[in-house]
Amino acid sequence: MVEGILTGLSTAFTPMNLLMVFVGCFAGTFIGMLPGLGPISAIALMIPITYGFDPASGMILMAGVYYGAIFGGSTSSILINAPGVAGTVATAFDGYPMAQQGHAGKALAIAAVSSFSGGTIGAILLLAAAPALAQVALSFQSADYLALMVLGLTAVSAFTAPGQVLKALIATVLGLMISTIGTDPSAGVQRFTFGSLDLVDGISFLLLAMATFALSEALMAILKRDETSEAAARATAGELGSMRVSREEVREMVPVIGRTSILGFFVGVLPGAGATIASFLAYGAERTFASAKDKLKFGKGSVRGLAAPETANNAACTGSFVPLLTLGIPGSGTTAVMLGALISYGVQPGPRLFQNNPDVFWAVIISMYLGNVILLILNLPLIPYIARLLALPRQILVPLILFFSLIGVYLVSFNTFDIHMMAGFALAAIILRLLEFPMAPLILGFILGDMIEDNLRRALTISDGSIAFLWERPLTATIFGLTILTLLAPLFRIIRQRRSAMLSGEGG
Amino acid sequence: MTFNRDVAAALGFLAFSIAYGWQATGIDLFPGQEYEPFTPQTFPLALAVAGGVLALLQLVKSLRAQPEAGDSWARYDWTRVGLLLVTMVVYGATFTWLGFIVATTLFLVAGYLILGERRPLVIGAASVGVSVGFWAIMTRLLGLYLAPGELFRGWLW
Repeated sequence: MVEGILTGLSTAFTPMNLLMVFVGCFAGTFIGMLPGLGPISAIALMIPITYGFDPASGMILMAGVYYGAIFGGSTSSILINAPGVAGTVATAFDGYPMAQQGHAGKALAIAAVSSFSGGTIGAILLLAAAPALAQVALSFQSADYLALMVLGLTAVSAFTAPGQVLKALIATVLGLMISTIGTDPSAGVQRFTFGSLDLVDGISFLLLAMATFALSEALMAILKRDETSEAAARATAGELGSMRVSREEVREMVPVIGRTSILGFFVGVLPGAGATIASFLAYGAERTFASAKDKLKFGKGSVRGLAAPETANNAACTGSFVPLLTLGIPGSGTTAVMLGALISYGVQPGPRLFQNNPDVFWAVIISMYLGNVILLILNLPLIPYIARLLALPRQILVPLILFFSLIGVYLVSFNTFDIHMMAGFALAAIILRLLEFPMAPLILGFILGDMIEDNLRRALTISDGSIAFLWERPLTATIFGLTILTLLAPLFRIIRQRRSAMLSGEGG
Repeated sequence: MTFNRDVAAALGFLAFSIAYGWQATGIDLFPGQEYEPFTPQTFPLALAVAGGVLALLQLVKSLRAQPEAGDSWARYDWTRVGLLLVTMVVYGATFTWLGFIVATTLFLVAGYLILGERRPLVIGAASVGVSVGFWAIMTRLLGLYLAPGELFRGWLW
């Protein structure tokens, strides 16, 4: 492991890669701050730029963008109460009141320090967990992989849209269906191409990610006449106040950071859970455990209430890399886009990544730590200036986002048909979003589609067409059992609610 | 029982799944492949069944749901979004003919105008500046080829 860390350090500490972390954090913070644009859009927008890079540099930039985007989301949560990312919604609960009281600078500093600590502790845990899990994963068979991917898809569907599990599952199946367009990887026959040469290679993941996230998020802001960028301009035009955090406040933060970073990391490792659930869980747990006096401060600018979700969401982001790096299975929409990026660099994540590309594996882990340091020492002082960029009027910003999305995809394929397809997919995504179909399961389904089909084929061929592989090995059976439990959980909740409603109805 | 947007969405997805499954049965197979446990049709057919079942469940759920006063789609700014989408399609269609610089400049100008920017200097600088700057970075610095414009072939070079 020490050897690995040294490899990672030597890869990450080249001037080029240090520049990548810095550029990534900066660009991520900026895009994450833009209302509506989240980390998936930020990463997707950066992929075309990184196509020519070597995989380690590319991934380092992506990790920087990811952290930057989450931090940028926190900034807009704190300053204008408009979280750019779902993972930072809980940040606004106490961050915005604190900013309202004139302590915006302090709130940003607390958020940055908490994010830094959460990310750092997460990176240390990742350092320990990832190689160990990669070793275990080497013994996994096709059926286990298939089971894990199905679990990942159902968990993402169950967690990303509580109350809308069916819609999330439909989005997942739609993503899987889109992934079957093109040439079948095993037999080489064409599927759903309708004779079109443009569809023979299938639909590129970048095209779909860009259309369903960057394009549709930018257009949704226009559609809903979102005026938050004006609010951002106003909020950042004034003084942010001192960024100093007092000693008592630090003393209050330390135990919170310790607890919530571990909680966040483990929630992040679970498929489907991720930063959003981690931040809400951490906020809820801190409030529950707070003394009666402290409890009153929650929601009114409490230091604990701000530090908890910020620590947890960053630790969860780090945790979500565990399944991606060790199993090659993304547990969230964001890591799904990262997986797509890795595949486009010619790197196949999974337990073998650790053996075949140790430089990428370790450089990513080290760069996460580096990304956190850069966010703290470079980004924090730059926040007032980055925020000024938000004062760019929306009527200028949106066409530029559209242009960069379209040209990013075009520069990979040099096929103008892709631009037309993007317009089509963007319109479809807007309608699906308005109908409350979540987009993250769709992109995850699309990215996992090929792998699921491949593993299903192998498992079925090995078992000669029998589906007994589902329960033959205890590991596979356990994972499928968990999948079924995940699917049934909302049903149990509904039944319990009905029963309690019926009981109270009888009582009343 | 009410007919709402969710019902329409469920019916739409049901129709889509049926059409997808029907198309899947037409996927070419090699002779004898139909006896194998897994063919290029297997996964799509499984997805079509899964999609159909989910769509039916969603249909039942939305038919039983209480009608909610959802936000009206009419109050959204469909005109601007529609115009932007059309601009994208036109951009794609004219890209090879007009070349990167001209097509991009026009695309950006149209985008700014659609979103209400009216200052000629801002529009000019933010369109020509971006397209020429991007073109210079891509072609001169990174050595990438960007369509020079078929229309000007033989006229300019």
